[in-house]
This record gives sequence, C-alpha cells and structure tokens, in this order.
Amino acid sequence: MLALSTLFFAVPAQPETGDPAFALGLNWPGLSARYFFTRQWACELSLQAETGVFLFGPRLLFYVYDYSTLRFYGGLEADSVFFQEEHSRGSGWAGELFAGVEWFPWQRVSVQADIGPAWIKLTDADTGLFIEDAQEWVARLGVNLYFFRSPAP
Amino acid sequence: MNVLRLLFCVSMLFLLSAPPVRAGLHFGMTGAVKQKARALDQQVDAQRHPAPVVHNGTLLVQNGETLEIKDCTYIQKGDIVISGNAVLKLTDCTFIHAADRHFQYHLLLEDTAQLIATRSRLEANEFFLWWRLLDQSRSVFDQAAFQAKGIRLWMLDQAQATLTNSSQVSLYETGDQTATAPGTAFVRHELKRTVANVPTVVSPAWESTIIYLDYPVNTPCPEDAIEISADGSRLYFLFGTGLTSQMTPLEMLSRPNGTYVVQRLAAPDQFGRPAFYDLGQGAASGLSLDGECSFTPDGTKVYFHSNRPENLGYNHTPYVEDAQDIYVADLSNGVPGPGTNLGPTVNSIYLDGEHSLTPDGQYLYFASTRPGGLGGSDIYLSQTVSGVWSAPVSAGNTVNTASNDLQPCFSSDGNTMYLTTVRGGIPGIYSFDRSGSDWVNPQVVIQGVGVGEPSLTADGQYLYFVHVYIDDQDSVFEADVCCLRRK
Repeated sequence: MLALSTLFFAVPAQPETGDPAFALGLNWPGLSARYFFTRQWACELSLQAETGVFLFGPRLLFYVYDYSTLRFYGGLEADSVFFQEEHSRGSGWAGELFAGVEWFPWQRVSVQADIGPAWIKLTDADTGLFIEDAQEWVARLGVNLYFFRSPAP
Repeated sequence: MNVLRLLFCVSMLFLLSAPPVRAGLHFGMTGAVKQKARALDQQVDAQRHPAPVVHNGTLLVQNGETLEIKDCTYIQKGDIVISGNAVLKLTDCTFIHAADRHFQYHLLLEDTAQLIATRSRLEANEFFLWWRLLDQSRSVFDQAAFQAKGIRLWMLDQAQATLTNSSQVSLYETGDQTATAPGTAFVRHELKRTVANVPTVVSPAWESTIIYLDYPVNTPCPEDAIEISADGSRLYFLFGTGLTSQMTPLEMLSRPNGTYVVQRLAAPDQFGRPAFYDLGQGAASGLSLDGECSFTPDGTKVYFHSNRPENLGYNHTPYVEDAQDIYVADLSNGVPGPGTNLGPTVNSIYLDGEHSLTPDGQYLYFASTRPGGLGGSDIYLSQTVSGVWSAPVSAGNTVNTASNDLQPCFSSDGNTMYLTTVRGGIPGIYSFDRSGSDWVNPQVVIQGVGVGEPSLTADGQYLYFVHVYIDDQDSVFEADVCCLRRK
C-alpha cells in the first residue's frame, strides 16, 4: 500500500474538467468502487467482510460543499447482508444515512470519513427469528485512489 | 510536504487496522452487523436450548388436578407425588428428576393418577431416586423416551404402563428392574417379597401394634443401627444402598452409605428429611461405614462402631476379618469430629460394636465375638475411670448365651436393659432387670427372627427397633425402623 501510494504521489495532478471520474477505495473492512455521474453525484459499490459477516451494496453520495481541499458530502447506503454465527445463519439488510468529508491531499488520493445512523435487520434462516434495530452508529474511514479524472476541488 | 501527507495516510491506515468497534459506534457496517448477528445468535440458541426450569421441593399433583409441562426442559429436585385422579402431562419436553447427594427423592404415582409423556424425554438417572407406580395408576408413553438407569423402580398392585409409537424405555443398570420391549408395559416387579418373619409383641407392657416408620426414614433400602435421642426428637440410623453382603467393599464403605439423622416432626413415627451425619471424618482412607451412635450424657462425645481399614483385625498378622471396632468422636454443637479407635484395651481383633453407654456414661456395653465367650457374640462391659476405659469383662452368664447377644440399650434410670438375644430358642428383644451388678429376669418384649437394635426414649414411652425382613426363601432382603408404644 505504501508503494502504491508513493507511485500515485509521483503522478502529476490532472486538471479538473468536470468529467466523470472513477475511484477504487479501501474502506475498512472492505473495498469500494466509486463512479461520479457528475461533479456532485456519485455512486459506489462496496463490499465488506469480516468473520461470519459479508455484506455488499450501493452507496449514493451527494457532494454539497467544497472548501479548500475538502469536499463535504452526504448520502445513503443500502446493503445486502449475510451472516453465520455459532447457532444461527441467515441474511438481511442494512441501511445508513451518512454525512462526511473527503480530503484530497493529492489530486488522485483522498481520505474520507463519514458517520451516520444505521438500520439493520437480520433474519435467521432456520428459525425465522429476526432482529431489527436502528440504534447503531456507523463510522466509515477510507482511502480512495482516483483514476482518469479527479473530483478534487 | 509530500512526506507529511504520506505520514498522514500511513497513520490513517494504521488506525483503520485497529479494533474497529468502540462503545456505541462501529467502524464499518460489518461491526454493527456482527453485533446484531451475535444478539440474534443468542436468541436462536435460547430458542433451541431454553434455560431449564428448575423446581425445588415437592411437585404435588392431586385430587383431579392436571399439570402439563411442555416445550421446556424441566428439572425437578424433590419428591413427585401424583395421587387421586390427578394427571401429570409431559408434552414436547425433557423432564429430569434430579437428586441431591444424601437425599432420597421419590416419585409416587398412586390411586388412579396418570403420567402421560408425549414426544418427551423422561430422565431419572440418580441412585437416590425411588419411583413407585402403585395402585391403579397409569403411565402412558407416546413417542416418548424413558431413561431410568440406576434408580429404584417398582410397579406394584394394578399399576400399568403403556408404550406406543416407538417409545423407548431404558432401565438397565438397575438392581430392581429389568428392561422391557417397547410397546409393552414394564415388567412387573414385586419388591415386596413375602415377609416370613413377622414379629410379635409379647410383653403386655407394650401395645401390640408395631409402628413402621414411613418415608423418609424407611426406604426400599435397609435402615439399621438406630439410636433415638433421649428426648425422642432425633433418630440416628444407618442407611445402606443395599445389603452389605451384596456390595463390594468399596461400595459398602463409600457414601451415601452411613449414618443419617432425622428430626421428629410430630407423632413418634413422623420424621423430617434425613441429613447425613458424618462420622467418617477420621477415616484415614476416607472409606468407612459408621453407625450405632451412643452419646455421652453431657453430649460431648459420640461412640460409634465402624468398618474402616484402621480396625485392629485388618492390621493384624495374620489378617482377621474385623468389620466392627468402636470409635469415639468429640462433638461440637452436635457435629462429630474425627473418630478415634478406642484401641486394644476395648477393641479386639474381632468384631466389637453393637454397643450402648449406660445413662450415667460410666459403662460401655458392647457385643464382641472375641474368644472366650459363650458363643456367637457376647455382651462385654468396660468402665471408664478418669476418661480411660478399663479392660472389658463379660456381662455374665445371665446375659450371654450360646447364641448372639448384642445391641444393648438402657432405660433412663439404668435399671432395665434391652437386648437382642435368643432365649429358649425364641429370638427377639428381651428386657433385663438390674440386680446389683447383675442383670436378671429376662423377659421377651418382641419375638421374632430379625428384630433387634432396641433404642428407648428417656421417658420409656417408645421403643424403637429394627426389623430385618426375611423372605420365605430364608433370604434377608430389607430392614426398616419400627416403633412400639408403651401402654
């Protein structure tokens, strides 16, 4: 990762044209691919996994304000969830409304952080028991590497 | 500047690799999902393995009541009594009749009561459980499993059990019951063999009715070596899980065999739940069979006989079978401490025990099979002088016979001695009158083979004794505690 980052730092920044841009992101604990429709709107497909949990789904981001090298955004996320624990296994969904900021230390590299309330519903496949809760707060930290065009301010 | 930016990025990556969850806030959606998945997992586990319902005390279903236990694991620690036309239904559940060490729990299904187990599992695997299916009771097992290893199970009278739809019964490892094929009733088992040695009260001083103590003193196992306290409030008795002749030495000398004490509740035949009375603390190997308590008048010591490896005969060369030596233990608030062998002054390498202290505590009367007697066991007495017991002497020819003479006890004034002996070919419990230093005028009180262990309350109103049952095949099979009331 360090070498990869160094490689990108050596690449000259591209001028801002407003054209669509792509990004690959490392967002704990998963990966994401981001595509900008416009300068303000982007969508993202993310995959996250840890032991016994796998989820994937889209995120929709709307960039509301730029300041210096910062871009503030909000959005929503919807994930399809699969899980397996000692006595249970099943699926469900998770959703989140979030707000955050993306900092561009370089034209092609950004660090982002967002936070928001999450809704989660999981259902056990065997018993039909389910759990549904909206009392979780989820923070997301990530690093994005942009290709072709950069959406940096 | 680029270096600073690079350091920042590396620091962020390091933070991202740290444990992602903090209280109330999850780094990444997976953390939140994981927490919910674990909570759901607990719910699923709880549904599949719900916490058992534990019931302590007697489970009583009677007089037309119906108690249904369903969809759970139910642990019953205590007696179960289903009587009248009551019904205990077990549906889709696991019912475990559990026992505590030293306590004997019963299931009693009597009258026209019913036990109906449907798609359930019924377990009773403790030796301390006695199940008695009596009268016209019905036990119905439908797609059910009944496992009763090691318990004592009886079906008596017109009691019936029915097994249908692949119900299974597992009764092996029981001493008193045999397995049976599914689909049929349990094999009828009659423990109550014909008692061939019914005793007779001969003495006109006592009521002719023999009072047999009921559960929880008497059980289907032998109770023996009794001692009633002077005020009649406590009864000490030796409980054995079977006949000693049918046990291995290890079984015999191990718990739960030993002395128990019960508190009298009301009538002289009504006692509470037995509590283990640990006389075996001084046994070096931890193995002992202790009984026959005899307390000093001041209540500071208890004398008892014991079968333990320290007995003199066991350590004699050559080895001598010595199943009884007399021991003494100090009492602290009635609780015995480690027992000490009275030593070779009192004990011999032969059987020494079945004893009693005189009410003044000055003399220890005991039975011994040592050489020099008239035959069988004879009564000897030893006197304490300044806390030291003298060499035993025979109680004399008016007391001892060519048969076994043993188990003396005394009236509170010390002028009457009761003894298990045989006189003129008539076995039983006899009374003797004191005449100076001698005992005279033997009179039979209770006549019969297998009666013995007399123990008298201080007021002389109740004479407790043991009846050892002998069947018509001349086999000993049980022993119970009984009582006579003075007229």
